[in-house]
Amino acid sequence: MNRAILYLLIVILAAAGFIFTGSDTQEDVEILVENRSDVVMQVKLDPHEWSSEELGVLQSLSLDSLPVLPPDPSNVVADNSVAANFGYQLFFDVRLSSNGEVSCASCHKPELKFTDGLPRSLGVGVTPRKSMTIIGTAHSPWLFWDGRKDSQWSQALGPLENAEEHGANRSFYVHIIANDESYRGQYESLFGKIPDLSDATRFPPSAGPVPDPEAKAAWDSMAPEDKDVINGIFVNLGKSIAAYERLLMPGKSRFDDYVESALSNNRQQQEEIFTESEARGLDVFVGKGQCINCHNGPLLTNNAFHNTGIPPALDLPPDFGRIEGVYMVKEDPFNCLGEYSDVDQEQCEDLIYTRTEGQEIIAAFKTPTLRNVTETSPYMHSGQIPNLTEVIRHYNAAPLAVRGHSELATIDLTTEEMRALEDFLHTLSSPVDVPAEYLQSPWPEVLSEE
Amino acid sequence: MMTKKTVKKLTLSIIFVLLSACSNDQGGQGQATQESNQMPATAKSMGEMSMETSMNEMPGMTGMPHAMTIPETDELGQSRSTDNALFQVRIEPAIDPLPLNRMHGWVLSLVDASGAPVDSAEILVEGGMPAHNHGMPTSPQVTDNLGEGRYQIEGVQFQMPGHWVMTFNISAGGQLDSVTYNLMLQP
Repeated sequence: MNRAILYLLIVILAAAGFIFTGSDTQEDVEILVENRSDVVMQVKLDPHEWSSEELGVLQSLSLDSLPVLPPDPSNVVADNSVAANFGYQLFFDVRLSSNGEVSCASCHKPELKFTDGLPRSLGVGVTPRKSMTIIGTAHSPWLFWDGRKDSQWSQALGPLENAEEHGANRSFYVHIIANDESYRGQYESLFGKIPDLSDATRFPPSAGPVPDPEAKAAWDSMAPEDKDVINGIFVNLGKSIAAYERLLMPGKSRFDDYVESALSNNRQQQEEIFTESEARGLDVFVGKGQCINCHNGPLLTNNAFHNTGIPPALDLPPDFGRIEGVYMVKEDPFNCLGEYSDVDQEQCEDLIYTRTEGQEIIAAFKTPTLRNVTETSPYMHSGQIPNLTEVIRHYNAAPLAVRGHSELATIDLTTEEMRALEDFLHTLSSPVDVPAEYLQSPWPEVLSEE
Repeated sequence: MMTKKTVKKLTLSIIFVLLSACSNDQGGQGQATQESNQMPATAKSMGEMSMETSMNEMPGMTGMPHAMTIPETDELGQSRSTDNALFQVRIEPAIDPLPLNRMHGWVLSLVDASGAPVDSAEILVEGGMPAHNHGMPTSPQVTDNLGEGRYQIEGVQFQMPGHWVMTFNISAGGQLDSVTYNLMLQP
């Protein structure tokens, strides 16, 4: 009898063993591994060895794949070198601010790759966001972290009238141009005669649709045709600044050199250009790290809007990113469809078809370029993350978003992979591909400021 | 010393316990499929995304990116039946292979079950990436009725590489149907 019980128990235990550790969980593991195999890459024995598929991806990220700069049909002087020169002078001119101390270059410093090294930019006041680089943005359909401007010329007008940035208004700027002999001459050679603006009741010295109540009241008191004159000149200033900004393109980086040598199968050169860690980091970038989901193309940005769960700055009002920005760009009188744009309706596709609703654009921000990323710290829309090590940790951890829904998923990088990825990011720096004079202020006073 | 009866009861109760523990495991699997049924509901609340039909059709959907099987990519340019066989649809993108980040148009050709072109249909385009739980960056629209059952759709844009789902919801002559395409965008 006891033996019978013993045999029975053995059979039952065997059956239990089969059920609990058997085919089901095994299958789960197999499915998991199978579908993660494209994500969990086998560790490469040779970091400089790239499959033809990987080489295709590398080529798509290289500067050689950057298309010729498309024309900006909304800006009639976009590719006019005289306008670019005029815009260059405006860009560095601190007179274009309420306190005479702020120019575009105050927050877009050439020596910092046209950013300013601060978590939040300082104009005449403190702004809530970090300054973005201008380099390469001629290729982007949207400007600002929330994409509230759809052209470089329209973007340039924003900070000029923003209370914390330049702090003045359009009439103020137009009068500066009209009263400065050099500026007036340059302007009129490009856009035609400036009418007589001396009548202060028709053209108040300080007037514009800005928060400042006096300037706003003065603007509201103006006749529509006089407002139109001021608007037209103001817009042309933006278009000239944009003509300058279009010239600011990234030069070849060490990464581009590496891709070139990999594509021509020059193994020795590959090893000279990239360390093993940098090559491994590139591997993570295009593979397991999934960075190319958004940081794709030759400028390493898809210029689209994503929620990546960046913690909001707690001392600032809530920042909803694209869902606010898209509303603003649609309403902006200076957008592609507006009367000051030089374009036909059919050419405003980005503006017409952009998504205007949905959970995924809540607290979604524009993917910045990664070119020169090591020189443009801190990171994220209000400078929330101080260095690249912590940026990579953030993506690895993929925390939940406070607002909206983060697109990130955890990527399980090892410490070594994170370090390699950071090493790779250092290879993306390059000089700005523009004549050297255009990287320095034409105004002697600004040089002594710092 | 145990009686035969006790032994029997003991054996049966042990087997019963093991079997119920085993079916709890199955319940775990069931829970995973439950998540995938819940996903369309959340997906629906995301503005324009309404991928319920397509989600349920896709094999192996568990709503969790790491354990997802990617269905076979559909060939474009071939005629396909809508889900309830009310229409036949053919899609021709303006650019082949499908480009990353470039805004482009598609031409949709529509015939009914008997093969006759459908001339006055309303077409709603939806899409997204199931693995990343987001929709399209744009709202594509029919901009032109080209006649003979052909419709020009503009504003299609893919900003990320990977698996995309595009659903065309068609309403014509009082009939409603839809068709879904699985696409793979190369980086």
